[in-house]
Amino acid sequence: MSLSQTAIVQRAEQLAGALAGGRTRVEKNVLLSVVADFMSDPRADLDRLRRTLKLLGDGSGGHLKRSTSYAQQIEAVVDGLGEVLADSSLSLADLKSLFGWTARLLLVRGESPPATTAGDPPAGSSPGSKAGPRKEPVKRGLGSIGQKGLSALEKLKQDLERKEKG
Amino acid sequence: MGRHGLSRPAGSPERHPSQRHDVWPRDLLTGVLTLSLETPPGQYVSPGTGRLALTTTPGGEIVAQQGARAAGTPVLPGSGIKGAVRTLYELLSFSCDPLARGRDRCSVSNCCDACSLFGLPSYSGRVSFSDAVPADPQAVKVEVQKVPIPWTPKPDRTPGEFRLYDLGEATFLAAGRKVAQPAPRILAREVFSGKFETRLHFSNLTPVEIGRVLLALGVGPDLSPRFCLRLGGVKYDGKGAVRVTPRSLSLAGTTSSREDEALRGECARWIEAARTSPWAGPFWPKLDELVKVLAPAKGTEAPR
Repeated sequence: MSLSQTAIVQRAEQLAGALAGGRTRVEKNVLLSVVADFMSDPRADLDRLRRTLKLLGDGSGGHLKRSTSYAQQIEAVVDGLGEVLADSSLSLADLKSLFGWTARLLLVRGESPPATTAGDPPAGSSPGSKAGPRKEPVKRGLGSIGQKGLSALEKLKQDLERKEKG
Repeated sequence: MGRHGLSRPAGSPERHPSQRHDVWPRDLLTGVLTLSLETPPGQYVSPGTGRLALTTTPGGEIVAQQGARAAGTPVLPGSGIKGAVRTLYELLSFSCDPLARGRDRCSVSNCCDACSLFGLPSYSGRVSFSDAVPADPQAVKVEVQKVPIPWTPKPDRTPGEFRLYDLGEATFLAAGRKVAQPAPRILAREVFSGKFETRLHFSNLTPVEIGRVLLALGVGPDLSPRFCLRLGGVKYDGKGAVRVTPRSLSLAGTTSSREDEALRGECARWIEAARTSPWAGPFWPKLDELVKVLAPAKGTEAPR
């Protein structure tokens, strides 16, 4: 059974909070790079996504060696999505919607000070070199969205609730 | 690996009103030129998508950076080809800084050579490329290769307005070592090798303009590839090289397409028009400089 949009946005808030509140803030592009195939596939092969997450977590393809920050983001995505996929109450359509909302929320959070992007390794690194000293992780809760983002989110929730009530 | 900084000869952008799209004057050239893009031996192209996808290899499943596809077929996006050609065309002309503001910026009524040909906001230009698709169903091989981890370039170490990578492999200098070593290949990435085909659509071009476009594509005066156009990712490891060869030509106002001798004759005439135009004075030596950076090393050329 499909969840209501309000419930999905709430789940997306939780997932975005978990992804943004870890050792490194997960960026929208990192999340989407992992789930893009699943989201664009009309058949939405869940087993394939599970295998992708498992292999990524195991270091397949060397992506965890890219940089410390990128590896932490990928690990956070693997952990965060692993929990979501374990929840059998979510349909395939729900999952697609959930990932889309989560990416949107991560983007909103990203409007605060920028960090390393998925495509660019940290400045100063060179092939074969290890990333520089790790910075103190910044914990970010929902408060980091900012007043403007929060009020936009609140308005969105109210609109959705109104729509669902008819 | 080498990163080379090249600059244009001294001079300021020459601006003219842009060409109209709604009429095809008889004295200008409009048509479609089909081009073959072929990776030389040992080379591949890898237009990225930013996706990490589960890919099946002979050794089992692996998560690799995915290459661009259209409806499941490997492609080289036309926008990427246009960008690569525009960069070289800008190097080979007195063109504007596309990021300039205010009076230094081109407009539809007053645009530089590159903007007039490749477009600017609110003007779509007169040259475009379709996505390059495999020349035939078996023409392109898709595989997963390990590539070095990219790093942030240091612009201050490579002076020059344009920075280009040659075809050498990425190296690095380990601490305490005096000799550079090949960079370790770590990241799994989907790559394409073989023969693609794209269509260059052009409208209202002068023979000199289309001759200059052909030269920026790496086509030599005898129509053999003079240097390799660089497309897609992993250029920092000397990859992404393709040899461009004209295959057929359809011109507006004519009924049949031209191939072989007729095509060669037409293209050679356009390149000759560019070579003997005032443009060649300052820019032909720059083209020779470009050839030195982008041409394959001796001995790596495929038999022709």
